Amino acid sequence: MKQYLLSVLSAAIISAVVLKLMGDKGSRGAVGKLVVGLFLTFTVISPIRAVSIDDWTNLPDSYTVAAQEAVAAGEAQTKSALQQSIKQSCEAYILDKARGLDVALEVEVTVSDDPIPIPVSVRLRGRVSPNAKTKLSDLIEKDLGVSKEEQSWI
Amino acid sequence: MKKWILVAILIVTMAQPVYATEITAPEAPDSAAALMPVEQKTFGEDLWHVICSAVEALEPDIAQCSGICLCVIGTVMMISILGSFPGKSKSVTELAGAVAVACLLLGSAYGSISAAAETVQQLSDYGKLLLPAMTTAVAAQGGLTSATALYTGTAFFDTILGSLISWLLLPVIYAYLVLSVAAAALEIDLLGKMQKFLKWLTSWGLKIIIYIFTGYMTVTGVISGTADQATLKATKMTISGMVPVVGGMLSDASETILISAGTVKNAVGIYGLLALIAVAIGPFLRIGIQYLMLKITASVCEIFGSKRITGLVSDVSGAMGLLLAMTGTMCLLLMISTVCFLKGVG
Repeated sequence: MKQYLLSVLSAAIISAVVLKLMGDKGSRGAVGKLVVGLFLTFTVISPIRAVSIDDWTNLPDSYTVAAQEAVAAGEAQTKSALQQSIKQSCEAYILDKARGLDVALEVEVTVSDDPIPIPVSVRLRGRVSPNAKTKLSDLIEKDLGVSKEEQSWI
Repeated sequence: MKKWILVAILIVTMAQPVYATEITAPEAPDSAAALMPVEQKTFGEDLWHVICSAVEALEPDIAQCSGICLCVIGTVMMISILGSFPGKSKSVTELAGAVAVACLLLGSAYGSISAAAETVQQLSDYGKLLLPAMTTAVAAQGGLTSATALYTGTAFFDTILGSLISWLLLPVIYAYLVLSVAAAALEIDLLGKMQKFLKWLTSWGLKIIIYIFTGYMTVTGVISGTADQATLKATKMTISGMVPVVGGMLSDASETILISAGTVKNAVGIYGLLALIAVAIGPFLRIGIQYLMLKITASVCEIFGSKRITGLVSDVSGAMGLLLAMTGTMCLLLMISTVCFLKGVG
């Protein structure tokens, strides 16, 4: 910055001296003004040479990558929250239906890893009569879409 | 006993858990933290708190600036008295006067330039921290396309503006001041014309960037927002075509999560807006006070001072105006971006 200011100051002083020597009037004065004006302009806007357009043209790609990372983090959070919510809702639903059949159970539901998570398997633990087991199994298959093969009773 | 079991079942089946996503607004920088409200209330109340805190801190700057302006007026008065005496020393007196006024004004002017440069850098740095948080929050709300486009555009323009200010516009302001002093001391018209060119270059450059940025954000917001809305609609249709019980659960859960994400996004965005204002307002008001007081000083000096020296005071005031434009443009760019993020999907 110091060098730049000194160069501008020097250019201003040199311009003043040249204009005084060449005078204001006539073709000599006009040429003097033109040359001095161009000289001053180039000196003043010389910092623009430090700006590299190549650096700027690569920027959108790097920012797109960073944006995609931030978006992926948001997507991952939403997906994780949705999976958690579906898992808990399905477990609560099964427990509610089991209580209606006077059955005490421990339930663990596994949800898929898709963007729209759905229950894919159920693990049930507890003492259940064959009748209640059949009713609950049919209910899980019909209401939650989990086939009997994906239901494991312990 | 049966009643308590029923209540427990109701609580378990009807309670919808709110999933607080782990997105928080970055802390305001130290210079701005003192202005931020301790407890967040409404946006209007918090904004008023920030403004009042900034204005309260202005007193020493007003006193210092008033002192400098009174010295300038005194100097100009003395020069005009000395210049009224007969003799050939008028040009020497005016040259001495220009140098004296320059010495009085340039010290505080350089301080203002440093403050403006630091503020622009702080705004840019804070923006770089706020952007990922806002992007994640909008993405969590389903605005995947909007979030990417807004992030890329803001980051790109922020870098361009920051580079332009530090590599070209700040040196140009220094050059503007040097040329002002040289024009007043040497009385060369060409230097005055060069000054006007530099002033035009700075304000034109800033305007172009903000116009292009605003245009980009408007168009991007409409296009990407439409795409995101279409995606959300398609997702809702997929959910409605599923097994009824699971479909109902998914629909309720999605709604809850979207509302939760929207709440988090708004909280982050509003805090971010306040922090940006808090970073910019102190230096902006300080430079603004200098700008106004120098304008008043130039008007007073015009009554009895020479055109050269009054012009110098007016030029230094003009430089303050350019600094206000720079700081304001950077702050405005980031605020427009934050508001576009807050608008979210659709």
